[in-house]
Amino acid sequence: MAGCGARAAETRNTSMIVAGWIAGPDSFNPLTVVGSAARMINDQIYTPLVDIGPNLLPRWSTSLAYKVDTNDGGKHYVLHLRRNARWSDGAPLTAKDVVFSLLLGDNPGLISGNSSDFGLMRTNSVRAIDPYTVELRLSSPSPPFLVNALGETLPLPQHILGKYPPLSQAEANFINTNVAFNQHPIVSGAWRIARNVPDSYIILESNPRYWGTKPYLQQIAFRVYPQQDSLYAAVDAGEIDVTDIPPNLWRVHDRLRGDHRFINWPWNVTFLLLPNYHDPQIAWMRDPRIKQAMLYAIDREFIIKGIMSGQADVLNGPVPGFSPYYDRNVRKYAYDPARARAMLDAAGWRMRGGIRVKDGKAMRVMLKTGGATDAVASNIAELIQANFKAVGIDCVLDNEEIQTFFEDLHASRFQLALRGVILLPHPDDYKWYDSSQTRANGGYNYGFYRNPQIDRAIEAARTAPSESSARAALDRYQELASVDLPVLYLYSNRLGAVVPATLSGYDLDPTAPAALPMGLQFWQIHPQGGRRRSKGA
Amino acid sequence: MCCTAWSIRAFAMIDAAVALPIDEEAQPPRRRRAQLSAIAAVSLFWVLAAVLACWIVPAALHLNPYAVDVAHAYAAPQARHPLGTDGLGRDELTRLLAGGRITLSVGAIAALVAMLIGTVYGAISGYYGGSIDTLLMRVVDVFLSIPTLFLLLFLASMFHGNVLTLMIVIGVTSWLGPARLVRGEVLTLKERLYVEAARSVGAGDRRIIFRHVVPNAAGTIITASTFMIATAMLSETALSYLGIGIRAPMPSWGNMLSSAQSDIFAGAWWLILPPGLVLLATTCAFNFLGDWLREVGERSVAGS
Amino acid sequence: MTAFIARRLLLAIPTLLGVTILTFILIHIAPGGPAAALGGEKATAAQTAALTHQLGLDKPWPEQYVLWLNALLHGDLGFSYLKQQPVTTLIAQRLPQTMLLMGFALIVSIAIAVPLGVYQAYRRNSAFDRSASVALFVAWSMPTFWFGTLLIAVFAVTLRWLPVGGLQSIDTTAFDWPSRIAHLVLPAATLAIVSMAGWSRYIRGSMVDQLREDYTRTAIAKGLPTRAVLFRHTLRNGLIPFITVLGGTLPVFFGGAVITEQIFAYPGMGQLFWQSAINRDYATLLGMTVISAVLVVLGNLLADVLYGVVDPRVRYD
Repeated sequence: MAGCGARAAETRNTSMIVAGWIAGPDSFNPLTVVGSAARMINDQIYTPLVDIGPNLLPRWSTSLAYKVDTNDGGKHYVLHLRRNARWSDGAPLTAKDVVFSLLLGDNPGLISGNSSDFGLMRTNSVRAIDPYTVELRLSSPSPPFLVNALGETLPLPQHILGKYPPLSQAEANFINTNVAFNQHPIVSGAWRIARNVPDSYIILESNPRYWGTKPYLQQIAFRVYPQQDSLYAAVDAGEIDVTDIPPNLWRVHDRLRGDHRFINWPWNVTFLLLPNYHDPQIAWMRDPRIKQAMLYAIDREFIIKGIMSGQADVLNGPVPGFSPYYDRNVRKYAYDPARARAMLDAAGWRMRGGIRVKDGKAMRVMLKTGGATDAVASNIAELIQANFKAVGIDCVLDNEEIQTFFEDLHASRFQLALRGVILLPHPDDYKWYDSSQTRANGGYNYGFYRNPQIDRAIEAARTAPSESSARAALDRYQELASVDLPVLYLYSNRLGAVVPATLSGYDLDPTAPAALPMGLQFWQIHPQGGRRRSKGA
Repeated sequence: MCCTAWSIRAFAMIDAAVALPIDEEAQPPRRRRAQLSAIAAVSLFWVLAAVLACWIVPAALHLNPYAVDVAHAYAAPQARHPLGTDGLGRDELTRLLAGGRITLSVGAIAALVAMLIGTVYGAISGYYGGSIDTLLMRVVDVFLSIPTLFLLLFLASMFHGNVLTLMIVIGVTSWLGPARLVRGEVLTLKERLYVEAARSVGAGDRRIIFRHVVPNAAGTIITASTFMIATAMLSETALSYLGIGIRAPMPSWGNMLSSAQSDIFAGAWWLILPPGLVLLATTCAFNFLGDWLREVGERSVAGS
Repeated sequence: MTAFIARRLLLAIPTLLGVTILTFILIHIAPGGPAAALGGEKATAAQTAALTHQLGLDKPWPEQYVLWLNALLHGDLGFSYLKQQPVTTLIAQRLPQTMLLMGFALIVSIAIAVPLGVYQAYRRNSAFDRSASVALFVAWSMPTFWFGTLLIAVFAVTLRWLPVGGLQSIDTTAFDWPSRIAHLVLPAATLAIVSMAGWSRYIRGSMVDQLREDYTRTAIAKGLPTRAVLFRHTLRNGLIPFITVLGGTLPVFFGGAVITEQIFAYPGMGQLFWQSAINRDYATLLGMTVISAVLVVLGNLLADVLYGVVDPRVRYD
């Protein structure tokens, strides 16, 4: 690395950038993937059907579909595919691969959380009109469809992975256990896999068969350091050049040796407190006024400044501030413990020995987090506990190990859960807060939230016939949600990463799957010092 | 070569699989006692001081290890906070004392659990001998083939919960060594006359085992227990480091050490040195005490 | 001799069976399961059920055990849906790495422990002996991760003499010995510091015992120089019981050291075990435990045989 400071202990190929993360990719088939590293690598080695840019809108210059026509009030889509896309084995990438991949996503036999993402769409039919044109018909208009469903699709080679769906269990299992493909895929993107040592490192190199502009860099490597402290030490030692820095280490990034630049950008992950409305112990939380008081009681600015080193933004509703769909007119809750106390008093909860009591019931709640190995989460939980205590709410903490936390969350074994939610690029909270979307019905409404008004607002937003009516409906949803508070909105995260000062061309993508800067095919090294590529295509 | 060693009998080697340090032969009592007891005395003093400090001081001074004060986070050691504060502004000294209470308790109770199970198991196996012994020891072999950390990780992540479950989990994965040890002792003691005497009087097996055989192995048991406390404390540290031991916000020396790892980069040495040094000193102290106890034990055997 | 080996082999079989049963039971009483972990948040109840059925987790335990044991005997340890590879492949990738690391640590450990223990025995109760004992106790009481992070901070970050982690430099595909060794030094040192303490104490004790024996006294009385007695006779005899001690370290030898491998980004058995444990990847957990246990039993068998070879007295018990 030309401008990268003293040499590391081991020899370095100075024309290759090395990134680091705490877990590597396990599989290169998007349908069998559960990890973030695999998602990032797959984004590089496969051409996306519709590429979503850092502004959360389609970027046609890097998409397989160079044009998408919508007709019939948003119910009919025609995708025009590029003709020069090829697979790395030489076969052309055509409409039949796209149809194959779209229909596969709906198959319940596939072991991948992603398969449900493909199933976000409600399609009536998908078919190839000709080798480079695909037609989709939906049962109702769907504004999120283009970005959320098509934007998530990575076409796979039908000539390798088998016959058309629907798949039998055996056929689905073939895809799940097809080690030959899943570890050595046939790819179509700007990069291909040069070398992969599982759980150690992977090297991507420029794909000579890529249809688009070749990457500037010849190779990029990703090394695995499972321990966060070792990852940081590796940057300090010059062993790696790029990595994400978690919030608790942001304040110390300037102590790093070598010539680094610290970057941070908004992330579409929001943190919130999710109540379980089915739990009779916390029935008092069903009252929106109580939830509003609780939100007034939490000093979110302090959490952001004290624990996140200022690298987060207060969340004022279901849509974060950086999103183009954010509604400024949502109700906001500045830190005001006096007002919180007044509201709780007004609701009939009297202070008795430090805890509020009403009708013989104490205001007590258990806050569950996945913070056993996550210092940030457990620290935030403690701050919230202190905030609650100051207004008379007794809060008991339960920091669990992350896997156990998810199990409890999905089984609704919690009273109040501190959790992060990955938002969709086009806001659509249907699966989270619609009363029909309990886990049994395939949704994520683990708290059993039920509000018919919110249901109608969500439904209106996701079936609006035009973009402008969609925006209006989303505004209405945000305003309703900021008053009724299905969850207590805390903050929206920012991502922080360290890159060499000579690097330029990277995208700061809020949907970055592995918390690293994106746009790898545009990365360049400027010995004199680089600048970020300008936004948009 | 020290020439006075010829006349002293060597002490039997403790079972190798337990990986306890093998002791050396005893020296003439006068010289040895003077040499060893300095370290043993310091260790004993340290352990007692630690126990007193961790149990008495926080209660006497009404200290709260959970008192959050973000305005004064990462404060260096000063008058108000002799060991500084951590990331949430909590007083580090208070947390150190409170954490010591947890870690020492876990160490002691886990050791107790391990020694209890191990002693009973080993005593029964050694006393009855024959096929019972073979069967019981085969079970021990089975457990020993599995790396202890595997078992520990597995059980700890399964029975996630409070301090008590952690004590039991560590104890349950550590009884194998003591079992073998006690069995060895019992096998030796079995041949002693008093067992014959008790049997001839008509005492039942259980009475013989627990009233006569085990108390005579007491020396070894106590020594092994002391070492076991140190091992259990280190196990708690390892588990807390991996996130399945004592969980935040409850402090323990183990999880204070692990959460302070990243604070090194901030230069907050007061968050990583005190728990590390105190943990090291305490485990060392227990190890030295165990070693000294074994010296004492062997001297009494030599004298009998 | 053959009868001796055959007897030992026969005795090993129930142990092996016991290990498989024990591991199987342990893993199946753990809450949660691979279906929930894999499907993740987005899996519907129907998908989780389909996955459970596909993985055969809804069959009764004894049936699952027999199926699994049968597959095991045919060399099939199952498929890890988490890592998307057959378990056998995973273990084949990681076992050699762990053995390399452990072997290196063992060599370093012995290289220090043997001379140290012998010299301590030779000069027992001297100032050196006592101060060395204290230092060794301190080393023995240190938590591994603390020491490991310290080594990284000093040697990798500050001095930049050695790398932070990994198997070897990523520039070469071939097995590059100098790079490998550079990457092994720090993790092996972390492992060795604790084990070396225990072993030097053991060797010291064993050597002291040998020095007690009649034959030693006789040799010295006959006029042989002390050092010759020490190295030619007592050392060899003193090291024989060492074989048994090594047998006791086999589980860690094959199972890997979880914390050290995590810290030094060393993809061995320990790291795989940890990933599998927190993600409830049953197939891998079971496979790894069984393979480790089998190797341990075989290793102990080998130790027993070796012992029988060097010390004829034990062959006839």
